Amino acid sequence: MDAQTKDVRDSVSFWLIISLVVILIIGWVVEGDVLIDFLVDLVSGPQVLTNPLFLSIVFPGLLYVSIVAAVAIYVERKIAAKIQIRIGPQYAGRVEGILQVVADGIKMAAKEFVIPRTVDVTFFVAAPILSLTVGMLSITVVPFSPTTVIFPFPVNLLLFFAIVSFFPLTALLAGWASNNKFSLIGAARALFQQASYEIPMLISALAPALLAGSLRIEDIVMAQKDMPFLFPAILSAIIFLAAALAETEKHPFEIPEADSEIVAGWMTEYSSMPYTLFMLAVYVKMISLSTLFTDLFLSGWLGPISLPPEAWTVVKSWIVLLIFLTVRALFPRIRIDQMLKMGWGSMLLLSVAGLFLAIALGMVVGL
Amino acid sequence: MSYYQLVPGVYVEELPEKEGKITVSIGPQHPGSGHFRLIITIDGDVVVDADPDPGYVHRGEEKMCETRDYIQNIPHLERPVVLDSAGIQFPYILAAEEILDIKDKVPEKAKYLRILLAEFNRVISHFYFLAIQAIFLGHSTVLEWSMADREVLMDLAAMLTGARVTFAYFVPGGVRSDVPSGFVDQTLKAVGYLRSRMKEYWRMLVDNPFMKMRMEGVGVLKAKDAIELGAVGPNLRASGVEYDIRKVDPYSLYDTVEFHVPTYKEGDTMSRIKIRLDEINESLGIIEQVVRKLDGMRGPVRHLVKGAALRAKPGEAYARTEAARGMMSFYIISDGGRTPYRVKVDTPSFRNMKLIPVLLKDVRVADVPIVFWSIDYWPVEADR
Amino acid sequence: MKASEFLSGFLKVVESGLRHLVRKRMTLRYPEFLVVPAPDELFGFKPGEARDTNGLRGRHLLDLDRCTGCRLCEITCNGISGAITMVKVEGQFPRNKRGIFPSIDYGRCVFCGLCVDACIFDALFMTDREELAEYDRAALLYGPEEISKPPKELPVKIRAKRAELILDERRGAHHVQRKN
Repeated sequence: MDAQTKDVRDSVSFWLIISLVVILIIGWVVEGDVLIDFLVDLVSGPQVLTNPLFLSIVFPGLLYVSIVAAVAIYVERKIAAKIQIRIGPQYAGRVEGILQVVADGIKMAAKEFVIPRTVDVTFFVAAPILSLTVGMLSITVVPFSPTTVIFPFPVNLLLFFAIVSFFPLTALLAGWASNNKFSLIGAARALFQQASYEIPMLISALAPALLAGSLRIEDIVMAQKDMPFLFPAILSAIIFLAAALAETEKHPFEIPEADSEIVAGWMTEYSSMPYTLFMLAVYVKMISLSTLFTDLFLSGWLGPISLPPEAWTVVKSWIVLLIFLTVRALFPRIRIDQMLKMGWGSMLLLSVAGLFLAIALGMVVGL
Repeated sequence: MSYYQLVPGVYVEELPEKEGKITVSIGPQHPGSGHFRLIITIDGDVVVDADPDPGYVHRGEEKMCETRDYIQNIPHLERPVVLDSAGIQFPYILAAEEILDIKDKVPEKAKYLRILLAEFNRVISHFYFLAIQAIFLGHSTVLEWSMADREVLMDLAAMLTGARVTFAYFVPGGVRSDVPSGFVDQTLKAVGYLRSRMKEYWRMLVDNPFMKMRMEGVGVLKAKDAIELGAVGPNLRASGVEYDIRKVDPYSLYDTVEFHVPTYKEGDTMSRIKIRLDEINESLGIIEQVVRKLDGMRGPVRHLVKGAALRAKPGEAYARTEAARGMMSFYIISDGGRTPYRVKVDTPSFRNMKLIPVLLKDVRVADVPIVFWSIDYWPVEADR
Repeated sequence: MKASEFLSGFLKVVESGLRHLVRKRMTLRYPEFLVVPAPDELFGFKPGEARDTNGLRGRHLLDLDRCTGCRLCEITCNGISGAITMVKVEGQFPRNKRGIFPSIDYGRCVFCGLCVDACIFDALFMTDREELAEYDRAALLYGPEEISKPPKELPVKIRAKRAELILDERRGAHHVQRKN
């Protein structure tokens, strides 16, 4: 065992964080009758679908999100490959490299987690965990159906944005703790970018809220019985998508990770599983944003033919997700100053204009 | 502007700091091309001074020429410019033929085959340029497209010469092999295919609004500066100066094929992309014409020079051609021996290096890679 | 930039990208498939026609019965890469009394094929075998006996199928397995 590894294991704060997380999880599960309730529900049939433990662990919680993230990574690579007239993942799993994500996951888990000598070990280790935690928290407030929501809350639209605004902080934590110039520049860029694009995103998310007269996502979806808000609030929807691209650091807003300029941005020093956690957090964020878009603009779980409500949400959110994944192969990265100018200039103006447009069109169609 | 301010023993890190400005060394390990260092002084996010530091890949090609005879010189001269190996062979062969006094004995078919391979290489080199420019912009799609479409012509070149990159195809007296069967059809097909592809490139690179944001008005080279600094090739033409050796001083049989020289007035990074896209189209036109002429043409492709005749008379010869990156010229002096007495190689990259300080001034740091690469500077070619 | 310009450019890019989703993929699946662009012919020099035949310039093939040991290939190579050295071979060769033949070091060879041009006795050729990787540098030194035999077939596990490139303007370029 070399000196550096010993440092990490001896670090009191490292073990404090780990034990805190473990205690929280155990306490939450054992406290009350969560586990017993779950077992009772499990034998009683479909009731289990609304059990909080099932919601948070299976659907739409951890398991669902991890599977969708894995499929999204595979689909993203295949779409990019197809546009770039090449094959993409090919060998793992025999058929079109279908198990490539699994192979990558195993590879990442098998690698050594290199902790450079100069980093602040506590925060360096904590940042990826916190990042994934924030990602998972963001999925808890997005309803997939009136009953399928992990954490029901009266004003969950606001709560969602409150949670999402923690992302730049985890990036800054990672960049700062890395004690590396590239990491710090990348973290500052991530902070600028995500902070400046949250405002247009929030304003454009207000358009459906105004049309529905509620900040509760369930109410917004139910108000779209006659017509999805995509039509009156078309400009807001476009701005929301563009801002969501910037939030998830995808092209053309891949500025915090610009590889020809600053190596890998705030993730430069990370390797192995913590790096995977960061990547997973970004995809979880993408999933929750696309589900939120579905709820706000595409009438969520309501659909023309009768399917389980969750199925509609999942199908629609996948369509939105595919837009995210395709855009990557089409546009180059823009410059940081252009990005900021766009965020505080045209995007902000357009999002306000979209708000008024949505109200005007909403009056016309009589919503 | 300070040219080559560094002397041996002085390191960039030790340079005195000018009030609040930072000196950054980019390279010498591969800042996107061969080994080459760029020392930039930045004020905040803006470059105030850029200083190229070449010489890391000097191979002494000129000296090597002095110990090899006129045929043995062929393979090693290709190495500095592997992406455009026919481009550097062409002027060497023209100069060598002049000094060996076999200029008039080169068969017509060989002259057309030389034009064909040179234009193949121009397209291949420009595709590589587009690929690297795209990856500097963070656009991996054009990278993959260019690398794939290069392959079409490289396979054709391999069919003709037997090698994909370093052809060693031109020899004093002609070319080494004849047109294989099926080559003409396949080439015409490839020309049609690549023409249809060029529309897609234009969409992705020129019409793309984010590409416009990145490249329009960035790294502007005015026509006056371009002439004063001695820019050559596409970089000169992108600034609005119509100067192409194939037109102003036609060599081989370039005066029998029809093409026009594209120019742009703006002189910015985007126009340097556009001009290369246009040149690929023009080259495809030349390839089509030449292949149609070659179809059914009979006759030898090489005037065989026996070993004894490879001994040149004392004298000197000069030849210049338009390679993919610009004007390439060779100056050979012979003292009557088996080997040249002196060979001087003038490469377009060396001439274009002088543009770097001018172009990078007042450019943001994030734009340094794309502006640097937009002049298609190849360190190995410049250092020779 | 005007909004209309931005929008039209945006739509053009998206259209181009989506069109590629239905095009064929160009990648050559290399270890399974192999493109040999040149015709199936040995690369060799024809002194009468003063030209080389068309073929891929790969590993050499030496005709022991025709080689006279004149050293022209060695002399040529000395100025290029110095890969060829003459070695003595035991046995009776009517055209080669001294019994010296070229041996080629593929660690140095640049595959320019000028040694083939230099051979006026029609004894040296090049085959299309380009996969010459070895674990050991010494294994790259091929003696006269080795280069006088045609290249061995690759093991079945990695033997490549011949493919050819189809240039289809509408559906995209792609590789298909070559017939025959």
